[in-house]
Amino acid sequence: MPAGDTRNWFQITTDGRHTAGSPSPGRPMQYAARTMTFKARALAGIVAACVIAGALSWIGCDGNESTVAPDGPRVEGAGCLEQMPSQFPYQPGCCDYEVLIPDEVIESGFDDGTVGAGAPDHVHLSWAGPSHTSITVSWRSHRDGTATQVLYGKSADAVSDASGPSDDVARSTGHHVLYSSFLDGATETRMHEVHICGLEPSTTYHYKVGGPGNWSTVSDFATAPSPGDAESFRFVLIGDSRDDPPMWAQVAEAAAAQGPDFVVFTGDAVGFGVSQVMWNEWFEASSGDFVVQDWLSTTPFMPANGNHDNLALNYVVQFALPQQVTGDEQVQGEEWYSFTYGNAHFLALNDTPEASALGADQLGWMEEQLSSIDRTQVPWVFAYHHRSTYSCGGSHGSDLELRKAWQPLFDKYEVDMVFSGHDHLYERSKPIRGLDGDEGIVAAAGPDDTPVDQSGTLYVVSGGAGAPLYGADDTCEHTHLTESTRNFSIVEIDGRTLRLTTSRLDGSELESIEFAK
Amino acid sequence: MIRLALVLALLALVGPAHAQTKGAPPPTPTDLLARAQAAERQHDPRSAERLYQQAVALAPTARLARRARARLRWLRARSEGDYAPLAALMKFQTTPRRTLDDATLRAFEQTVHAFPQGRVRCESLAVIAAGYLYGTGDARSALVSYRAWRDCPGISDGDRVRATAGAAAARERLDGIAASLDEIDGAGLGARPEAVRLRSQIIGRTGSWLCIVALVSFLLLGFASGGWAGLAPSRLRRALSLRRVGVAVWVLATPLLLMWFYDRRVAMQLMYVAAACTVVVLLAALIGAGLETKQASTGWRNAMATLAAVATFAGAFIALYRTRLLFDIMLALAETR
Repeated sequence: MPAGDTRNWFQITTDGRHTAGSPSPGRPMQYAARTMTFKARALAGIVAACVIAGALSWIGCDGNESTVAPDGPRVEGAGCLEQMPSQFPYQPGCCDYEVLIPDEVIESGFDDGTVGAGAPDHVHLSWAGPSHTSITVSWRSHRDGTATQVLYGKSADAVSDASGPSDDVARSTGHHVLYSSFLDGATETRMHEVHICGLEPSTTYHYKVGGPGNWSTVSDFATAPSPGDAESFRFVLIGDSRDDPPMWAQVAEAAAAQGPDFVVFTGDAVGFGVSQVMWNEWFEASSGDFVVQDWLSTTPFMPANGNHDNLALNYVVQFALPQQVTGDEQVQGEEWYSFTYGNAHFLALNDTPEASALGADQLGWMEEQLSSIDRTQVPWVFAYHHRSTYSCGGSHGSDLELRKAWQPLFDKYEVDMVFSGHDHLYERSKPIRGLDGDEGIVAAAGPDDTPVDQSGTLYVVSGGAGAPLYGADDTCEHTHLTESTRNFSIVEIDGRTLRLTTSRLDGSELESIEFAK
Repeated sequence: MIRLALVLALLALVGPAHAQTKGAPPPTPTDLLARAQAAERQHDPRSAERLYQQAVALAPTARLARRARARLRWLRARSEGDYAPLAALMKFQTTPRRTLDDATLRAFEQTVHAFPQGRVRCESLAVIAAGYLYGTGDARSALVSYRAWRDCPGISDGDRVRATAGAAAARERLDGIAASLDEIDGAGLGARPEAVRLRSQIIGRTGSWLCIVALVSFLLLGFASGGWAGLAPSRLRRALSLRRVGVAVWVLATPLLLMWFYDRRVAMQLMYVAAACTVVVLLAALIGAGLETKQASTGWRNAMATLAAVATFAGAFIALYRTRLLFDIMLALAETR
């Protein structure tokens, strides 16, 4: 039985300090208290209130008045030309998948060209469809803004000048939802989501979001290489950014400077997933000229659910992820998902709540996913989730139940690396293959305890992006290296060679390893 | 004639070389990017910048050009001294911290003093300070370096916070928690998580003792009041009536049950709080019933009721603060069994 979340609970109380200002002038946002004092932690009543709040959120107390606009999403201009249906779920233009929305939203609809006050913000990218031919753009607008359009093309100037579709610029439209934040009283947030498909692989596109007369600044994204293509790519591994937005911004800035193609996030972005105030701070966190939301408008963000994110409505609505519903999977199938980038396949798993973590639905899905990968084309396989299956120190340590449930599959299908967070530090295991009771069996290793001929899986704990650091412990047999420090890792795949470089926030190198298959 | 011979000789030399150049395929953007990254790994930022630039020029709209641009931005922001300081810093940054010794740190520190004012100088001070504190364990030198970093001209707010936090960590080792907190408060950063953590430690240490005093006082005064003496079974039954126990179970166990069904791994600390509160509440009920038997004065009974409430909070406080410890004891007991 792993340790409980003692420290997490200690860090979540209120003392009335209000958070920083509104992202856009005139935006009717409310900001709740969120910081912590120790005296308040001693009050068991607060804990009970939090538990009840979480439970109410869990059983779903929000109303639902879904509405459907008369006109559905469409793609015009240089992109696909396809009229879309006008109700949920719907299939975005040129996409071969359907999009579902949560029942708990207050209202929903499709683009009708109505713009609200203030420029769109919190613009960010993810993949809900194939990473080489699609992208999903999400953003926040004024509550009354329902225009949900993206203008995009290969020419930055053409997109910048465009006010509508043309030969060089395509327009895709999508849906929007209005939702209420459980912890922030009457605060309502309007999120927009546009799925763009039919793109060319390994290509840079420029885009802006919003609607007529009210566009965001032009940003850009790049599609992935085709599945199986051995073209080099790199992603940043990062997690546990909660509770300290300025620190999160600094870690993000250092990671962004490495030019990653996308972000693999191991969960716990914010302290309370149901607090929109915390999400706003997370997107708007800055370090000098660097602003997190600017980075995420160019770099797809692929998160795993953390126990603090807790599959909250805010989390589900703000991040558009692949919706592959399996059995009783929650949140429209975004609880766990997978995607392929070039010659690598990624499984984002969910370990909160326990029923999902250990349930047959997710295990069955994992087996199906792992068994269907053509390893001659896609040799690299990574899994990531929040609670660590191998963590020596920190506050939580290894989750032995997860280890017993999941590791046999990681072993059977020779998953290369498993990433997690939860313990706020960095730790990397030796190659592990097989279990002896609860203990992992350390496999044959090369220099720096790297796998030899896929001898074992490396387990990495990356949880140092903002949350209070936990103490490290390197006395476990499975641990190669651990340190209690702010950190981020860059994983670079170049054909059949992998290089992992982990850096501290001061730029010094924590470790750099390379191995091939 | 001599001139012609020289020209022919030159052509003879240049010709094959030219042919060789012509025969070799031109580098692709991918090649250039790989070479640039290799140059970075070899601590050669000047060459890296040139190669990244060539990669961007060859394929400005390619996906990989985005990475090259990101690295160019980073490098160019650190180009002071024609990249010589950055080259030195890059080399030092790849030295494993566990192998750092005092001589290496001091040698690099001397080098850094000669760096021109700029970003690289400041970032070097940060690495040196961390090297002292977490590498060689020299907190005094670390404190000096963290303060020098904090005083860097044009330091960003984020870096100032980190420098202060580092200085506070050094002060904690040198002079204790209170001095560490002074370092943070003195920099006007009292609301930072680092300061909150330190205050938590201070309050937690003193608070735990205060709570123990409150709990012991409650028990001793309850005993001294004669509250536990002569409890008749009927009074006992009334003190622990089904209704009272039912309410207690509802108040304490409901959140626990909800959390247990949701995810029992996060219900543990709540269980400790509920257990601690239940024990104190049950004792309070018994003392109350005893006082009723003794027909104690209202003032005395009110005082005991207040103390019981304080003791309940004290129990909850200790349970929350020490959950990890209690959990470890339970684990040890389970393993012994």
